[in-house]
Amino acid sequence: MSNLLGMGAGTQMIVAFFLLMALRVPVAFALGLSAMYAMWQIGFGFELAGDLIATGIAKYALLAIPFFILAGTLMGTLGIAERMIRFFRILIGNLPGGMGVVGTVVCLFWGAVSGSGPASVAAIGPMIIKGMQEDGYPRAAAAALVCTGAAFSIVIPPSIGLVIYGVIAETSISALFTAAIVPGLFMSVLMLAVLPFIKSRGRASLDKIAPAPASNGYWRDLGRSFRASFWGLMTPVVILGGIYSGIFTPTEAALVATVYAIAVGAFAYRTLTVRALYDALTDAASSSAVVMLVVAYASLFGWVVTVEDLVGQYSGQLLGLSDNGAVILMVIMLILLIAGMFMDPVTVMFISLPIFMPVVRELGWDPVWFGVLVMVNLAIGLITPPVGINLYVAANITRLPLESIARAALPFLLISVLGLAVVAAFPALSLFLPEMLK
Amino acid sequence: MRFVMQEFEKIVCAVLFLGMTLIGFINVVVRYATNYSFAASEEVLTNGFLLLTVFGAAIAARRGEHLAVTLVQDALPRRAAQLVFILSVILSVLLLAASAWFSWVTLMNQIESGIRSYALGLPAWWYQIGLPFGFALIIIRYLQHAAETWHMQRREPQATPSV
Repeated sequence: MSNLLGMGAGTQMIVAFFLLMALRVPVAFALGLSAMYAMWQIGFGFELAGDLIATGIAKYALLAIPFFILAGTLMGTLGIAERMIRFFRILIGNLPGGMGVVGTVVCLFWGAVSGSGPASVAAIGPMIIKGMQEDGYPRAAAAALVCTGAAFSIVIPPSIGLVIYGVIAETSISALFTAAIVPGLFMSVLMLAVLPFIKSRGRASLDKIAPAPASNGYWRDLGRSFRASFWGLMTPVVILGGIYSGIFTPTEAALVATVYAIAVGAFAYRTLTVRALYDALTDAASSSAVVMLVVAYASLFGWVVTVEDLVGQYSGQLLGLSDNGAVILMVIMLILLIAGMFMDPVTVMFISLPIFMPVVRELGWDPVWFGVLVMVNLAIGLITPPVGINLYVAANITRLPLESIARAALPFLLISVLGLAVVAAFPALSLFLPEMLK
Repeated sequence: MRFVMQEFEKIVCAVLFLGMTLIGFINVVVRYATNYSFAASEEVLTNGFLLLTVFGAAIAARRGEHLAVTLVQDALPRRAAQLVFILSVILSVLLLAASAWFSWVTLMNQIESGIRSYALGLPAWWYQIGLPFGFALIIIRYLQHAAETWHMQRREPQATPSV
């Protein structure tokens, strides 16, 4: 049995993982099952399983994940999104592109509040899609814009993906957060280039989305909506300002953001009820557990990868592909893009990064830049079929068939791949900001 | 009582999460004001996180939120799809049962060896004791959701795949 098809236990584990995943076993469980199968093949490891699961989760840096999710969930329930959309609608809604521009900017801003893509689609999607439709965008195109914009919220700090990358690659999470900001902005700006091609009809009046009683003129309306959305707009300042100025670690920033969201809901907007708090706590616990269960079972998987020296084996093969670093980088990105089409970002990172990181070190690439690049790759995976998680969430909230949203997302996909190439070709885009702040 | 039975993991998570937020925030304030950080809070937070994950996973299991790839199953004819579904449930329960068992073994070892936590010096099994029960609860919730999905599939094909 140990020589099934002439494969070692580690390789068998990888085959078993993909097989189980195809059988509809949840990804986290597929990781655990295939790892336990490999342990059984090797003949030891079971006695460590309990400890491995516990130590895989109980890391201080990973604590940022539940709290960023909780902060994002709270923000979503407090009515902050609505106020933010109204503010940007008045501020920039008159630009060519109208609600499309507003939607892109709100996605960008929400990315700086929330750390995960699918949750962002659910929080801000319905309102943006409705507004864009009223402004003459096809419903599917609006859904595609939200999917793409929300996908880049895993690039824009705070990002759960970057926290996990930092833990796996043993790289400073603060540095990653700093490096990701310019590429994240860049990707969002690129999205604007698609807008002229997808808008079909003329614009609606501003009043539908932002009713102004006896319009007081631009500046008065703007001032009013700014005051109404002020506390929400301050959130990214609190989170990112705290991290960049070195006051908080990312975990502390996540804690502060959570308390900030509770305080805004309880005192500023008075929209926080006990029921809403209970729901937010349990929803966030559930979302965080979905990610963390993958982390837990991935640590079993990772243990087998180390014991069986799969890392040396596969990274050696990768390095042997070519003498040209650029070729190897392209192969890595292609693997990430394809993997991202089928798996969620966290799983992809746990499976692939142990193999990629030695290559990164060997070729002298900056691990911070590489982390940003990985995140842009995986963000694109969120909007590509067959398993683009954001597409599914959008299909759910719009009741549109998945295919029509996926088709509408195609122009965004093309421009995103172009953006990915730019981020890959110019490391300075990611690295100048961390250098400057050093 | 019925409410507690149905919402047990939610209540655990809400209390735990709120408590962790408070302890963590106090620690941030104290550290910032006095430059003094207690390792004790880190110990409580990371162990709370462990429990939060396992009980949160029970909430997610009840709602069917654990990410799965339904691509192959959707492409299969009805009979084969049902077979794959049953197989995936059996395999998942197997893993969860193994996890409950392994964390039980760890718990027994900790009680026997009398090992203590690194910062507070508490018996290590105090943190561990919730885990085996948490995994058992995930099994129950997972099966509840599977039964619902099963009955729904038999009545009508699912409108949107849950990925």
